[in-house]
Amino acid sequence: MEKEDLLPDDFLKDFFRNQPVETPGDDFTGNVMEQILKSPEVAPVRKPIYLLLKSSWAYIILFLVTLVFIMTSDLPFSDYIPGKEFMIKNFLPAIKSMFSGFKPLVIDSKFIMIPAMVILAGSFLMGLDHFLFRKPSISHQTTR
Amino acid sequence: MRFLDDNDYIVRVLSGDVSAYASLVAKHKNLVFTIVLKIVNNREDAEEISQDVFLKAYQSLSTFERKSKFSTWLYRIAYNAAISKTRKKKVEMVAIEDSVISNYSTDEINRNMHELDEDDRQIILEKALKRLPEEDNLLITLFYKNETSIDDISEITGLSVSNVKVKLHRIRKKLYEEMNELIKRN
Repeated sequence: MEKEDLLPDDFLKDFFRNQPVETPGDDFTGNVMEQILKSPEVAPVRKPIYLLLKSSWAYIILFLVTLVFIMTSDLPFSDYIPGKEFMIKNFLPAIKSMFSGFKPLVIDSKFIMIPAMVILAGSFLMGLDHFLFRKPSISHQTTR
Repeated sequence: MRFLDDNDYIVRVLSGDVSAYASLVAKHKNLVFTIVLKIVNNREDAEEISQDVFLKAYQSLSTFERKSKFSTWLYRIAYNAAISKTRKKKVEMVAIEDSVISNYSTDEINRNMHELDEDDRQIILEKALKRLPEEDNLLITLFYKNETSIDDISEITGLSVSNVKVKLHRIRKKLYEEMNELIKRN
Protein backbone atom coordinates (compact mmCIF):
# COMPACT_ATOMS: atom_id res chain seq x y z
CA MET A 1 0.00 0.00 0.00
CA GLU A 2 1.39 3.37 -0.98
CA LYS A 3 1.62 6.16 1.57
CA GLU A 4 -0.75 8.26 -0.53
CA ASP A 5 -3.38 5.55 -0.37
CA LEU A 6 -3.09 5.10 3.35
CA LEU A 7 -3.07 8.72 4.41
CA PRO A 8 -4.20 10.86 1.54
CA ASP A 9 -3.58 14.28 3.04
CA ASP A 10 -0.76 16.69 2.58
CA PHE A 11 -1.30 18.45 5.85
CA LEU A 12 0.50 15.92 8.03
CA LYS A 13 3.24 15.50 5.44
CA ASP A 14 3.89 19.24 5.33
CA PHE A 15 3.77 19.50 9.09
CA PHE A 16 6.34 16.79 9.64
CA ARG A 17 8.52 18.05 6.81
CA ASN A 18 8.71 21.45 8.48
CA GLN A 19 9.47 20.07 11.92
CA PRO A 20 13.10 20.47 13.00
CA VAL A 21 15.16 17.27 13.15
CA GLU A 22 15.86 16.02 16.67
CA THR A 23 19.59 15.92 17.21
CA PRO A 24 21.66 14.73 20.16
CA GLY A 25 24.46 16.86 21.64
CA ASP A 26 27.43 17.97 19.52
CA ASP A 27 29.82 15.59 21.29
CA PHE A 28 27.55 12.57 20.78
CA THR A 29 29.70 10.81 18.15
CA GLY A 30 32.85 11.58 20.15
CA ASN A 31 31.37 10.11 23.32
CA VAL A 32 30.30 6.93 21.54
CA MET A 33 33.72 6.49 19.94
CA GLU A 34 35.44 7.15 23.27
CA GLN A 35 33.50 4.31 24.86
CA ILE A 36 34.17 2.04 21.90
CA LEU A 37 37.90 2.71 21.94
CA LYS A 38 38.05 1.58 25.57
CA SER A 39 37.16 -1.93 24.37
CA PRO A 40 37.31 -1.98 20.59
CA GLU A 41 36.78 -5.73 20.16
CA VAL A 42 33.79 -6.63 18.09
CA ALA A 43 32.09 -9.80 19.28
CA PRO A 44 33.55 -12.66 17.27
CA VAL A 45 31.49 -14.09 14.46
CA ARG A 46 29.88 -17.28 15.65
CA LYS A 47 29.31 -19.42 12.63
CA PRO A 48 27.63 -22.78 13.00
CA ILE A 49 29.96 -25.62 12.24
CA TYR A 50 28.79 -27.81 9.41
CA LEU A 51 30.59 -31.01 8.60
CA LEU A 52 29.60 -30.34 5.03
CA LEU A 53 28.02 -27.33 3.39
CA LYS A 54 24.25 -27.65 3.18
CA SER A 55 24.31 -26.97 -0.53
CA SER A 56 26.76 -29.79 -1.21
CA TRP A 57 24.52 -32.57 0.15
CA ALA A 58 22.42 -32.73 -3.00
CA TYR A 59 25.53 -33.11 -5.18
CA ILE A 60 26.95 -35.80 -2.90
CA ILE A 61 23.71 -37.80 -3.02
CA LEU A 62 23.51 -37.39 -6.80
CA PHE A 63 27.13 -38.56 -7.13
CA LEU A 64 26.57 -41.63 -4.94
CA VAL A 65 23.38 -42.62 -6.77
CA THR A 66 25.13 -42.25 -10.14
CA LEU A 67 28.13 -44.24 -8.87
CA VAL A 68 25.97 -47.12 -7.60
CA PHE A 69 23.98 -47.08 -10.84
CA ILE A 70 27.10 -47.28 -12.99
CA MET A 71 28.81 -49.89 -10.84
CA THR A 72 25.81 -52.19 -10.80
CA SER A 73 25.02 -51.73 -14.50
CA ASP A 74 26.24 -53.82 -17.39
CA LEU A 75 27.63 -50.84 -19.25
CA PRO A 76 30.87 -51.89 -20.98
CA PHE A 77 33.06 -49.10 -19.60
CA SER A 78 31.91 -49.79 -16.03
CA ASP A 79 34.12 -52.89 -15.96
CA TYR A 80 37.14 -50.61 -15.80
CA ILE A 81 35.96 -48.80 -12.68
CA PRO A 82 38.20 -49.89 -9.80
CA GLY A 83 36.36 -51.59 -6.98
CA LYS A 84 33.34 -52.66 -9.05
CA GLU A 85 33.85 -56.33 -8.38
CA PHE A 86 34.35 -55.74 -4.68
CA MET A 87 31.18 -53.71 -4.52
CA ILE A 88 29.04 -56.27 -6.31
CA LYS A 89 30.39 -59.08 -4.13
CA ASN A 90 30.26 -57.37 -0.74
CA PHE A 91 28.46 -54.06 -0.76
CA LEU A 92 25.28 -54.95 -2.66
CA PRO A 93 24.48 -58.13 -0.66
CA ALA A 94 24.97 -56.12 2.52
CA ILE A 95 22.49 -53.50 1.32
CA LYS A 96 20.05 -56.17 0.16
CA SER A 97 20.13 -57.90 3.53
CA MET A 98 19.74 -54.55 5.29
CA PHE A 99 16.48 -53.79 3.48
CA SER A 100 15.24 -57.38 3.20
CA GLY A 101 12.96 -56.89 6.19
CA PHE A 102 11.32 -53.83 4.67
CA LYS A 103 10.96 -55.19 1.15
CA PRO A 104 7.89 -57.42 1.61
CA LEU A 105 6.34 -54.82 3.86
CA VAL A 106 6.68 -52.08 1.25
CA ILE A 107 6.04 -54.04 -1.94
CA ASP A 108 3.10 -56.06 -0.64
CA SER A 109 1.23 -53.12 0.80
CA LYS A 110 -0.26 -50.59 -1.61
CA PHE A 111 -1.05 -48.32 1.36
CA ILE A 112 2.67 -47.81 1.82
CA MET A 113 3.77 -48.17 -1.78
CA ILE A 114 1.49 -45.50 -3.29
CA PRO A 115 2.23 -42.71 -0.73
CA ALA A 116 5.94 -43.62 -0.91
CA MET A 117 5.90 -43.18 -4.69
CA VAL A 118 4.03 -39.87 -4.37
CA ILE A 119 6.52 -38.62 -1.77
CA LEU A 120 9.47 -39.72 -3.90
CA ALA A 121 8.06 -38.06 -7.02
CA GLY A 122 7.25 -34.89 -5.08
CA SER A 123 10.73 -34.74 -3.56
CA PHE A 124 12.27 -35.22 -6.98
CA LEU A 125 10.22 -32.37 -8.45
CA MET A 126 10.98 -30.08 -5.48
CA GLY A 127 14.68 -30.87 -5.78
CA LEU A 128 14.58 -30.15 -9.50
CA ASP A 129 12.76 -26.88 -8.88
CA HIS A 130 15.32 -25.93 -6.23
CA PHE A 131 18.24 -26.45 -8.59
CA LEU A 132 16.69 -24.91 -11.67
CA PHE A 133 15.07 -21.85 -10.09
CA ARG A 134 17.38 -20.84 -7.28
CA LYS A 135 16.49 -17.63 -5.49
CA PRO A 136 19.26 -14.99 -5.43
CA SER A 137 21.14 -14.66 -2.16
CA ILE A 138 20.02 -11.77 0.05
CA SER A 139 23.43 -11.34 1.60
CA HIS A 140 24.32 -8.80 -1.06
CA GLN A 141 21.43 -6.50 -0.27
CA THR A 142 22.55 -2.91 -0.07
CA THR A 143 21.77 -0.52 2.70
CA ARG A 144 20.51 2.96 2.26
CA MET B 1 28.26 15.58 4.83
CA ARG B 2 28.02 12.80 2.25
CA PHE B 3 28.15 9.25 3.52
CA LEU B 4 29.09 6.01 1.83
CA ASP B 5 26.94 2.92 1.78
CA ASP B 6 26.55 1.40 5.26
CA ASN B 7 28.04 -1.89 4.07
CA ASP B 8 31.33 -0.17 3.19
CA TYR B 9 31.70 1.09 6.74
CA ILE B 10 30.67 -2.26 8.21
CA VAL B 11 33.29 -4.11 6.18
CA ARG B 12 35.94 -1.62 7.30
CA VAL B 13 34.96 -1.91 10.97
CA LEU B 14 34.93 -5.69 10.84
CA SER B 15 38.37 -5.69 9.28
CA GLY B 16 39.74 -3.65 12.17
CA ASP B 17 39.21 0.00 11.18
CA VAL B 18 37.35 1.13 14.31
CA SER B 19 37.29 4.78 13.18
CA ALA B 20 34.93 3.86 10.31
CA TYR B 21 32.25 3.32 12.92
CA ALA B 22 32.24 7.05 13.65
CA SER B 23 30.74 7.62 10.20
CA LEU B 24 27.98 5.13 10.91
CA VAL B 25 27.24 6.91 14.19
CA ALA B 26 27.21 10.31 12.50
CA LYS B 27 24.96 9.02 9.74
CA HIS B 28 22.31 7.43 11.94
CA LYS B 29 22.53 9.33 15.24
CA ASN B 30 19.63 11.69 14.51
CA LEU B 31 17.08 9.03 13.75
CA VAL B 32 18.25 6.76 16.56
CA PHE B 33 17.98 9.74 18.91
CA THR B 34 14.53 10.65 17.54
CA ILE B 35 13.22 7.10 17.99
CA VAL B 36 14.46 6.91 21.55
CA LEU B 37 13.34 10.44 22.41
CA LYS B 38 9.82 9.81 21.12
CA ILE B 39 9.52 6.86 23.49
CA VAL B 40 11.34 8.01 26.63
CA ASN B 41 10.32 11.67 26.31
CA ASN B 42 13.43 12.99 28.04
CA ARG B 43 16.45 14.34 26.18
CA GLU B 44 19.07 13.28 28.74
CA ASP B 45 17.76 9.74 28.96
CA ALA B 46 17.42 9.61 25.18
CA GLU B 47 21.04 10.65 24.70
CA GLU B 48 22.30 8.07 27.18
CA ILE B 49 20.19 5.28 25.68
CA SER B 50 21.21 6.25 22.14
CA GLN B 51 24.88 5.99 23.11
CA ASP B 52 24.23 2.54 24.56
CA VAL B 53 22.44 1.57 21.35
CA PHE B 54 25.48 2.44 19.23
CA LEU B 55 27.77 0.65 21.66
CA LYS B 56 25.61 -2.46 21.60
CA ALA B 57 25.33 -2.33 17.81
CA TYR B 58 29.13 -2.08 17.55
CA GLN B 59 29.68 -5.05 19.82
CA SER B 60 27.13 -7.12 17.89
CA LEU B 61 28.15 -5.93 14.44
CA SER B 62 29.52 -9.33 13.49
CA THR B 63 26.12 -10.88 14.13
CA PHE B 64 24.41 -8.50 11.70
CA GLU B 65 23.48 -10.87 8.90
CA ARG B 66 22.60 -8.22 6.30
CA LYS B 67 19.20 -9.81 5.74
CA SER B 68 17.73 -6.38 6.35
CA LYS B 69 19.13 -2.87 6.01
CA PHE B 70 21.67 -1.87 8.65
CA SER B 71 19.51 1.13 9.52
CA THR B 72 16.47 -1.07 10.18
CA TRP B 73 18.56 -3.39 12.34
CA LEU B 74 19.97 -0.43 14.28
CA TYR B 75 16.57 1.24 14.73
CA ARG B 76 15.15 -2.00 16.04
CA ILE B 77 17.90 -2.11 18.70
CA ALA B 78 17.06 1.51 19.54
CA TYR B 79 13.34 0.81 19.71
CA ASN B 80 13.81 -2.21 21.98
CA ALA B 81 16.26 -0.37 24.25
CA ALA B 82 13.89 2.58 24.63
CA ILE B 83 10.86 0.40 25.26
CA SER B 84 12.75 -1.63 27.83
CA LYS B 85 13.90 1.55 29.61
CA THR B 86 10.37 2.96 29.57
CA ARG B 87 8.94 -0.23 31.07
CA LYS B 88 11.55 -0.12 33.81
CA LYS B 89 10.63 3.42 34.72
CA LYS B 90 6.94 2.66 34.38
CA VAL B 91 6.31 5.99 32.81
CA GLU B 92 2.64 6.80 32.73
CA MET B 93 1.46 7.46 29.27
CA VAL B 94 -1.20 10.04 28.62
CA ALA B 95 -3.24 8.20 26.08
CA ILE B 96 -6.10 9.69 24.24
CA GLU B 97 -9.11 7.63 25.12
CA ASP B 98 -10.66 5.71 22.31
CA SER B 99 -14.01 7.08 23.37
CA VAL B 100 -12.92 10.41 21.90
CA ILE B 101 -12.74 8.74 18.53
CA SER B 102 -15.68 8.73 16.18
CA ASN B 103 -17.65 11.40 17.96
CA TYR B 104 -17.24 13.71 15.01
CA SER B 105 -17.88 13.36 11.33
CA THR B 106 -15.01 13.75 8.90
CA ASP B 107 -16.80 16.73 7.34
CA GLU B 108 -17.03 18.51 10.67
CA ILE B 109 -13.34 17.97 11.36
CA ASN B 110 -12.36 19.17 7.89
CA ARG B 111 -14.58 22.24 8.18
CA ASN B 112 -13.08 23.22 11.55
CA MET B 113 -9.58 22.54 10.27
CA HIS B 114 -9.94 24.78 7.25
CA GLU B 115 -11.24 27.66 9.31
CA LEU B 116 -7.84 27.92 10.97
CA ASP B 117 -4.80 29.53 9.44
CA GLU B 118 -1.64 27.53 8.81
CA ASP B 119 0.18 28.61 12.00
CA ASP B 120 -2.75 27.79 14.28
CA ARG B 121 -3.14 24.40 12.68
CA GLN B 122 0.55 23.70 13.29
CA ILE B 123 0.29 24.71 16.94
CA ILE B 124 -2.78 22.58 17.50
CA LEU B 125 -1.24 19.59 15.75
CA GLU B 126 1.85 19.89 17.93
CA LYS B 127 -0.35 19.85 21.03
CA ALA B 128 -2.31 16.87 19.73
CA LEU B 129 0.91 14.97 18.96
CA LYS B 130 2.13 15.47 22.52
CA ARG B 131 -1.02 13.81 23.79
CA LEU B 132 -0.45 10.68 21.75
CA PRO B 133 1.04 7.62 23.45
CA GLU B 134 4.82 7.53 22.86
CA GLU B 135 4.71 4.53 20.57
CA ASP B 136 1.98 6.07 18.42
CA ASN B 137 3.97 9.28 18.22
CA LEU B 138 6.99 7.31 17.07
CA LEU B 139 5.04 5.41 14.41
CA ILE B 140 3.63 8.52 12.83
CA THR B 141 6.99 10.31 13.01
CA LEU B 142 8.77 7.41 11.32
CA PHE B 143 6.12 7.29 8.63
CA TYR B 144 5.84 10.99 7.83
CA LYS B 145 9.02 12.66 9.01
CA ASN B 146 11.52 9.97 8.10
CA GLU B 147 9.43 8.48 5.32
CA THR B 148 10.21 5.01 6.61
CA SER B 149 8.34 2.35 4.66
CA ILE B 150 5.61 0.32 6.32
CA ASP B 151 7.70 -2.83 5.89
CA ASP B 152 10.63 -1.22 7.71
CA ILE B 153 8.38 0.14 10.48
CA SER B 154 7.05 -3.37 10.87
CA GLU B 155 10.58 -4.73 11.22
CA ILE B 156 11.67 -2.02 13.65
CA THR B 157 8.67 -2.31 15.96
CA GLY B 158 8.01 -6.03 15.60
CA LEU B 159 4.40 -5.32 14.60
CA SER B 160 2.91 -7.03 11.57
CA VAL B 161 2.59 -5.01 8.38
CA SER B 162 -1.20 -5.04 8.59
CA ASN B 163 -1.05 -3.99 12.23
CA VAL B 164 1.19 -1.03 11.32
CA LYS B 165 -1.30 0.04 8.64
CA VAL B 166 -4.23 -0.20 11.02
CA LYS B 167 -2.34 1.63 13.75
CA LEU B 168 -1.31 4.46 11.42
CA HIS B 169 -4.88 4.84 10.30
CA ARG B 170 -6.13 4.98 13.87
CA ILE B 171 -3.37 7.38 14.95
CA ARG B 172 -4.21 9.79 12.16
CA LYS B 173 -7.85 9.62 13.10
CA LYS B 174 -7.02 10.15 16.77
CA LEU B 175 -4.90 13.15 15.83
CA TYR B 176 -7.67 14.81 13.88
CA GLU B 177 -10.25 14.09 16.53
CA GLU B 178 -7.98 15.51 19.17
CA MET B 179 -7.26 18.57 17.05
CA ASN B 180 -10.97 19.10 16.60
CA GLU B 181 -11.42 18.93 20.39
CA LEU B 182 -8.68 21.50 20.90
CA ILE B 183 -10.17 23.82 18.27
CA LYS B 184 -13.57 23.64 19.93
CA ARG B 185 -12.11 24.35 23.37
CA ASN B 186 -10.32 27.41 22.03
